[in-house]
Amino acid sequence: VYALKINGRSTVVEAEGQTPLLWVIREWVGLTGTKYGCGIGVCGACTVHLGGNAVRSCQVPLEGAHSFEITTIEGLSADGSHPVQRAWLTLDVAQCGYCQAGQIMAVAALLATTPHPTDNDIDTVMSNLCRCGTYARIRAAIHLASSILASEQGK
Amino acid sequence: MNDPPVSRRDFLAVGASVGGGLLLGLCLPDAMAHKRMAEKRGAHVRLSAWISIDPNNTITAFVSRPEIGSGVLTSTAMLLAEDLDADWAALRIEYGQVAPNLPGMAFGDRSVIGSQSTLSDYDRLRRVGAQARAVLVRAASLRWNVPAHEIVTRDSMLFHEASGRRLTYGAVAAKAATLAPPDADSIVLKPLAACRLLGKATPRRDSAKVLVGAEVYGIDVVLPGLKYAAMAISPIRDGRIKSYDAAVAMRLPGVQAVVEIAAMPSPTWPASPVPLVAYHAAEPSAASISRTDAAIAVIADRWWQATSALSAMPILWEDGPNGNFSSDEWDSRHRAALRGAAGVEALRVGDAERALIDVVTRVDAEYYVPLIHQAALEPLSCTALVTEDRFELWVPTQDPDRALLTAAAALGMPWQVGEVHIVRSGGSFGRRLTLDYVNQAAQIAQHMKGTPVKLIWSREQDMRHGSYNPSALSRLSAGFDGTGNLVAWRQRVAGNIQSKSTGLLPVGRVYQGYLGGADLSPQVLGAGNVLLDSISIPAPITLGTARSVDSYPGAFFLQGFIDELALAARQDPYDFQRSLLEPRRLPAHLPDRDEMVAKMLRWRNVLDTVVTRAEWKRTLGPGRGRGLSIFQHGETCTAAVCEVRLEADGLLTVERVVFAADPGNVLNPLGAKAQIEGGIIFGLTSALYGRITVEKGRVVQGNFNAYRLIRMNEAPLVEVHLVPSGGFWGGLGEVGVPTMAPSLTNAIFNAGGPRIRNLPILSNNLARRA
Repeated sequence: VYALKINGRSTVVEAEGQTPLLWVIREWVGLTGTKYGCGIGVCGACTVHLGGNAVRSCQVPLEGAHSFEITTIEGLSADGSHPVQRAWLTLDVAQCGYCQAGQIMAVAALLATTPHPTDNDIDTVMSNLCRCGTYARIRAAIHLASSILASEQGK
Repeated sequence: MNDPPVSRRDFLAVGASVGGGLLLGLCLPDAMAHKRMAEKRGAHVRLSAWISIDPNNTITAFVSRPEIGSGVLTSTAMLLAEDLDADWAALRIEYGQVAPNLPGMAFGDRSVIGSQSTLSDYDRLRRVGAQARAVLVRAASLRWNVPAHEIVTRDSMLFHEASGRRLTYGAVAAKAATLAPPDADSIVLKPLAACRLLGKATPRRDSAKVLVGAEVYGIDVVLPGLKYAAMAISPIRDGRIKSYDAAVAMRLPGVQAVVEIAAMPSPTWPASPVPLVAYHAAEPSAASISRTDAAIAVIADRWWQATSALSAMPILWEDGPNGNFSSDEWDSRHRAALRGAAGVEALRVGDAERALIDVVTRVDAEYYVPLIHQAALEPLSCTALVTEDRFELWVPTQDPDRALLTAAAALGMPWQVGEVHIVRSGGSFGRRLTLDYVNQAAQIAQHMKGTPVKLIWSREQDMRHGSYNPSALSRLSAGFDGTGNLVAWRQRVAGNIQSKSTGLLPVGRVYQGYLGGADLSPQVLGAGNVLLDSISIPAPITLGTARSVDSYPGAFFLQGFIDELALAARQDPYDFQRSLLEPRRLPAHLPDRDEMVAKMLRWRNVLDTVVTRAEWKRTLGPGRGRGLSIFQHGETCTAAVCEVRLEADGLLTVERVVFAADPGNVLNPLGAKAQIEGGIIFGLTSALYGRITVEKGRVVQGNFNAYRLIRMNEAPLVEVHLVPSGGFWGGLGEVGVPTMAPSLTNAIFNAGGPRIRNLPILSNNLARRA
């Protein structure tokens, strides 16, 4: 039995300690916005924040996660108002959309440490796969989210 | 199953919606019978519909096709809303979940395939919207006692300007539901240019839910009492289960059952009474294949428990007949066949073999394209519930109706007692036309009667039990006469087409892409002496379709080779391509010559566009190169320039892609560009990395570490230019793909690299030529 704090709420999970956090989030906690894509930490569809850092939740066992604050796409904002989500909506980024929760979580973590990422920063950090090929719009949306954040903080 | 074709009039009807408003929808005898049957059971059933208008003016557009990422929810709703004059911002959009779609197929074919959704739906759905508007106007004219032609509609409102009166659609919806709509064929649609939605850049309407993680994909379906299944499929096609120890799995946490899934052939589909898209029409059994191999499933409270128990459980397989199959050997057989006896002739104009003897300059080459995997990011899944007398599916698929038939066949139950709930797919690219996963989920659920079970494939299964885009080889020979005119073209293709049993490559336009699009290529036909044939050797591989299908190998063969011909002719590739697009080159007696001339002009237009935009003649720096290609997929004509940087040691960077497309008309420019941008990345990914191989009957690649996809840092700058010439609806979902491989290999050559005739590109040594 593990106590987890996900999206600001405490919850108790009865699962084996080796269970990947991805499956705990999806099937024990019931938050299905975090996606399974590869199970080997390559694709990034399962990206969540663990103690504020973007991690691939398919590679994090439950027993290694329970002491951290966990944020999933459902907890990024109550209503899709996070600057990254707004940028994605404005630029019509998503196609099938399956990878986008992971992309958005990765970008939200990036902007928290690097508010004005260069294209080079983006190339270095953004390793999430998008099979629909939305990379150009993701790149543009990262820059837009960055400027939304800056203008909000300027207020 | 042999009902006569259903006309629009037969199935379009108005009725009252649940809320007492207008429902414009379907009124087939089958649908009515199903409704009564469901009501007897006390089940909630909604008569299928295109449009419903409630008294509170809530308007819902029901979309019959599944959303796999191509934007069909938005584009279909645009078609329904345009002539209805519905308030776009307030319009609700839902799937038209309809049980009794077969055999009358009231919604028509609901599959998303071959970039054909808009082509198939444009006319009929606009007319549905217009019919709905007509009965609303008529209801208002009766209410106000004014002539219908004095009533104007806008944003879901009716206006009578002379008297200053106005009503919502909802206010007259109940009355409208009692009126007969006008004959669909009698409606004159306004021209595209006069439309307020169609042709305008329109953001997708399904994004908001996606971006907060609230969209339910197939893998996310949750039902009361749901159990999860993980499955091991015979690693070799037609292999058998030798032994397994279920007790090991049963002892592990959460495990409920271990069940066997029987190998099954694909069922035959009933003939559809409504016109199907081209692929289906030509080869009804080819597009959707649902055979399954023997498999063992573990059912547990959670999928992770099921998959853990499955990997703990010892399973032994018998190889069966295909334990020695190797894709390399299959390719070798095809390669030998390229030089062997004649294949099945596809096109003969003049005497190409004779002309090749007489030519002054002759060029020969062999090209190869391997098996390609769709690699949608969401692994396959299907949720099924089977009871004594009914079954239900929640399935992410490109083809809901054949999913229903597949499950019915697997269960030995009539399709009439089944129901398909369309759920969103996290990508598909052709894979979800192959319905093996539906068959398996149905079989598993039959073992668990009364309990809904969600089967989820692992990524490794998704990659190793695919339905791959066929590998293909082509041998091309062409020659020039003494004055430098291209006067002979001889091409043979060896490869398997989309399905198992067909044996030989079919002739004609449906599969033109395999022959380099050449039987339709105005460039090739201008040679005057043309011979095209094909050879196909069946293999124990499940073949299917990946985004752009036969155009992927076809464009590479045609446009890679034309670049070689330009070199042989000592011409700039653009100048050479352009010289092949002279109408006077076309033989005078050519059937459909006028059509071919028109096509030439469209090809010239995209070619000139892309060359201008890419500043083709501008000199590039050292180590840089650019490549050009042009291809027509379906009716959409495309051209692309790729720019690359190639280090001396062969390190390759794709820097920029400039792309032009003439799809005839464009429904939503924003979505059109998105689809092309995505197709470009898909095509680059396949060209650079895409290759599935089979050794000892087993697919080698099992995850994204072995089957690489392009990432952000490899994605080039992309410019898409739409140059619609009007008059037709070409597709957009696939058209970005075909030109990528040839533009890229031509660019690599131009940068001083090798001439690449074998894909994927990165299987070649790219070091610059000395």
